[in-house]
Amino acid sequence: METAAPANGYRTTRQLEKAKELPQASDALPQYGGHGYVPGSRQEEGFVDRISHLVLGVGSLDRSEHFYNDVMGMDIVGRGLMAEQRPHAVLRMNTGCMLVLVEDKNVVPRRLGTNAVHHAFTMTPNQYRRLLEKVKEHEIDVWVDRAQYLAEGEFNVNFRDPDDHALEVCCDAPEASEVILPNVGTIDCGPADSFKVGDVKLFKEADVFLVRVKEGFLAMSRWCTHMNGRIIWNREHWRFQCPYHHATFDRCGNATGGQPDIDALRLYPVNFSPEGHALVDTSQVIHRACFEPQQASKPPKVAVTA
Amino acid sequence: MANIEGLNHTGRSVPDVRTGEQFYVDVLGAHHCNTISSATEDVRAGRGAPHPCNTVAGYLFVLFPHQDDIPLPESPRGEDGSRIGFSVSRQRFDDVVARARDLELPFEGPVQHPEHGPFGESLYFTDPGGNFMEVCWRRDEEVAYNPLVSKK
Ligand code: FES
Repeated sequence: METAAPANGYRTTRQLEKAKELPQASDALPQYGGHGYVPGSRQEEGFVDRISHLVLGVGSLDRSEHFYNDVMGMDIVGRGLMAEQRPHAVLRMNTGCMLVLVEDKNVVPRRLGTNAVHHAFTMTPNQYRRLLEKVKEHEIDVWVDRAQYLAEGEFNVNFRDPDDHALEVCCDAPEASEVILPNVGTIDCGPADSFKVGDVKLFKEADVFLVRVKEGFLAMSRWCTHMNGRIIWNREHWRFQCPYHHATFDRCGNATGGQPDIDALRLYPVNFSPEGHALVDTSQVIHRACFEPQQASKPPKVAVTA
Repeated sequence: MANIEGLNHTGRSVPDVRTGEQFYVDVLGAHHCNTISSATEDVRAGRGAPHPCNTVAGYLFVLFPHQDDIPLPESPRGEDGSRIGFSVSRQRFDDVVARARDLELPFEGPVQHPEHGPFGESLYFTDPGGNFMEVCWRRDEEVAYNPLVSKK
């Protein structure tokens, strides 16, 4: 198939490689509304009720109808179904969203050097797997603009349609909600008395943050409870933050913003060796809605004096 | 069944992101979700400036400023000539037309669509970037389609 996509010379290797990654086969429906989205934000009685359709100008109706049906997987509803003088075709997706293609000899070109203006679609994992086969079959250039911002189980691919319209397909697979265990057994985090109250230390090999709070030690999983993004500790703002969809967590792991209704960061049990080293057992994960003082493991000295 | 669920979000450009966002909030009742600010390394490389994210009826719009170093195409139809359509129930459609008048929102329509198609009537207007938008009622409003976002 012919597309107007330019050569991918300016893409990074990560952006190209990420575009080949496949979710596990599944028909699970999407559970997230796109990067930047915050659920529960639907207006009760707004100006409009729901998204209905997208209208795109295309140079050749036959070519684009075929592309959106064959590659993008839309059902063809028919032609000439709108109050529109120019030749047009209507296609439908499973949520009832429609795509209307209007033949226009002067399609407005995408401005070069930017993907800011783009249209994104949602697929289930199986639909996404099929799409990647189709783009391969038609030798369409694909990449991932947000390669560094994808949580585990979140899949995105960017490409262009035959008229150079910038497209993106998003899929949040069930892997995004699976609990990821580091499988590195018990890790020795060093002498417990080397941690001051307030210290936060990352153990990369296990994706664990060991935090010393006044009640004791918390070993927190680095995987965000929203969708398995890898969180980071923002020392200057005293909080954990997730670069994927902006959830934030306090030092005890409580969710504090960015995404509503998510649990506190998961914990791993902390024990202490006879020499007083903090040992984190990464084989068991402890789920919790929020921080409770008894979740913190007291170091031996504190336990003796308590 | 189709092999695609639906629309996910739209990236649009407006001359001024703040007044653009104000239009989405004041006229369309958009909800500001957050402002995505990309990593420092991206910003240094000339990519990913902060951009606001707003949902209109649960649908996400990401707004970017027009790039002043690249001339806008001569088009009365927004940057890429696309149009986003929202629907309301047939019952509410007249209220929306009245509301658009109250808001002094310049619009075209209502326009009647052919009876054998999925659309009933539409009105058309533009955002501050000249991007075309549409509100319609649909003849298939009783059909039970898949949800846009299925809750956990
Ligand atoms: S993965 Fe979505 S906010 Fe962390």
